Amino acid sequence: MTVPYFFQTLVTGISNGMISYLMVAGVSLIISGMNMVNFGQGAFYVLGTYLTYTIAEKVGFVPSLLIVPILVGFVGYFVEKATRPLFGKNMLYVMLLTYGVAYMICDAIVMIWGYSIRLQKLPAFLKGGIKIFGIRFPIYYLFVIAVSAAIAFAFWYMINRTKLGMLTRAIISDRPMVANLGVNVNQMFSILFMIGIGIAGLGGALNAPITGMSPKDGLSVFGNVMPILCIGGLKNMDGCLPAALLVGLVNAFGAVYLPQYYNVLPAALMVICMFINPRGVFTKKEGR
Amino acid sequence: MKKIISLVLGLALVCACACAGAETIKIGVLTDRSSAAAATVTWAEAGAILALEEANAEGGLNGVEFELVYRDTASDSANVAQKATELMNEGCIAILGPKSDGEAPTGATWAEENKFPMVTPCTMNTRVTIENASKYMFSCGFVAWPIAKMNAKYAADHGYQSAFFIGNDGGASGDSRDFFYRELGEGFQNMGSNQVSSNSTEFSTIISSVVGKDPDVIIGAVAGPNFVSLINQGDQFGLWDECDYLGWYTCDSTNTTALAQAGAYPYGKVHGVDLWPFWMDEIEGNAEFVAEYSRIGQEYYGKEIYPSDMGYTWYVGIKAIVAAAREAESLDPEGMTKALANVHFSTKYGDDLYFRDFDHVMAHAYYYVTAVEDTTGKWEIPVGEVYAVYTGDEMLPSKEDMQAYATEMGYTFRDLSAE
Repeated sequence: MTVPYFFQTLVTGISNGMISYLMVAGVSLIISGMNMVNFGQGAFYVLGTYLTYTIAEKVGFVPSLLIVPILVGFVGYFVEKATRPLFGKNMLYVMLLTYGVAYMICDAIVMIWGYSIRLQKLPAFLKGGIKIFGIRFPIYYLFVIAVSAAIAFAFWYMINRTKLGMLTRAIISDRPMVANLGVNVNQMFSILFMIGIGIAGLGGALNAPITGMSPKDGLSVFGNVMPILCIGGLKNMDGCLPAALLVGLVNAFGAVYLPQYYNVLPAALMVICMFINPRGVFTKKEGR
Repeated sequence: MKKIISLVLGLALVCACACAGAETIKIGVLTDRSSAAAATVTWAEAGAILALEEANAEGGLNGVEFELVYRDTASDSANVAQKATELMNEGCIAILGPKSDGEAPTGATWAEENKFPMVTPCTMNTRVTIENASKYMFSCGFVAWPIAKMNAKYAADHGYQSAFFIGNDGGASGDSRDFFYRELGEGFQNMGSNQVSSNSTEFSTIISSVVGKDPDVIIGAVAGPNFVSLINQGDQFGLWDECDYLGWYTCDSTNTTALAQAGAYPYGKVHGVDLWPFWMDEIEGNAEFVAEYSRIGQEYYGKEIYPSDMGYTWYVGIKAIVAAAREAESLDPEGMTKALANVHFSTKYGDDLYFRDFDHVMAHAYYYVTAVEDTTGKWEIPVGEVYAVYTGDEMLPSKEDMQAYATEMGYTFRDLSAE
């Protein structure tokens, strides 16, 4: 492998991982803060993509990246309300409910946008490529890396440096105590859920100029990021980014050296990591 | 209140009796309206509906109209048996389907076990014609083996020396790769192969690896969202500046529309096989056929649809079933199967279409084209620059070819003409 080829593969893996991170971060936030697995996350991702197709036509692609997450988060608000009666009950009920919501959202996408494959047109300044170590790399992928990195930083800042983040961490540690201190935990749940869903919507919006999306992709996208969740740790928000980058890099280098096993690599990596630490390799082991 | 309820129930009973009395001849259709691949279903079903309308406009069968009855398999082979059984029990005379090549082996097995005729529009492959051959299974679509031969011929004619394969996980995918390399021999460099799941749309890591390997050509076996994603991401990485793409469904609008509208289609770099040369106005009746197909899309699905090879194969499948029904001694499964095995009919794109006696594969005319930008202003989507037109007999494997391949692979070749 030549040096330019190595760096191209490296950067591709990083961009691949950063796109996955946006969906995983939202799921991890919801799991950590609300102790709930949102199986419908993929549907919100696809909803973000389809909203981008429509909104970008009116206001342009870059402004749509600001509008779409807000709209998708707004939809998430109502979904969170629907899950309230199931809080404290068997987690399977919430998983089934959110999976059902995913079906409803995908069917709503079909009703509104119809069954067709779509692709978002890129603005001129994001088209084309630049040479990195002699190999062409798409400008848009570098843009995605930059946006995702900014989101990752904003996420970290929110969790570690803001009052909202402080309350989130407190809820994760001891929800009943936080409630007893007079904090409106239900309102916090709504905010967390909306942020988690909104991040998925942003991931979908960024994905719109990359893949030819179909409405029913929302039912399968979540399965592609499960390995990242398990590797990072289901309730470890800090583990999402390194896990996503790890999977992205394994995919990138695996495509070069093990193309015939490409489909199996993320799952195989997940199994290996769970042998090392079932709670996620980026999560501290119990007792340490 | 009781009188009102009685009146309503009575009216409902009368309506039910009236509906039950309306007789139709049912043709079953295994479709996909719920998986990611359902993004192409409108184009497929439009072809079937067009054929149905033509059949009924001709008077149906002895004045009785044909009717399409749908079941959704979600392109999952686990659903094929159940849905096909439902269609059989509903009184269908034959089934058009399954839709995808991944389901076809299961469909062939079901057809053989239930002795019920099935006409599949998917891309046929040796997992069906050799491994699961059934006298009740008929193929009206593409066939992977001749596609591979045509791609190999194009590669040889243009002096290509190396290829990388990117395909989905269906049976046709493997055949299109394996027969390509068999045709070109050991001197042609196989630079690797990636087979992705049918719902996979992330190709950046694969493309990045391919760019580094620098093949002369990509052999592609992807369609729908897969194809759009691969071509688009390839365009973003500059892959199509370095190599060309060889495949099939080349000018199929389900593959090309989104790319063309986004300004991401690499005109002149995608080559392959088509069945429906919709852009060729010199073919008599072509323009009218295109217009009718478009009308179906608007009338039944409320959307504008451009021509699609997938739609054409579904159209031909229904035409074959209708033609067989008109010639059959009886409409029971054995009668329909015998009629399908002997049916001959024509479309605007082929005189005397029929299913070959030893493998039940339809011998279409194949148009090998390069997808180019339309200069007439008539088409928003790519049109085909014809490189060659091949007859089915030229490119489809002969009985001896199939026998030899089966022997080599350790399978038993079942000559359907002997049954």
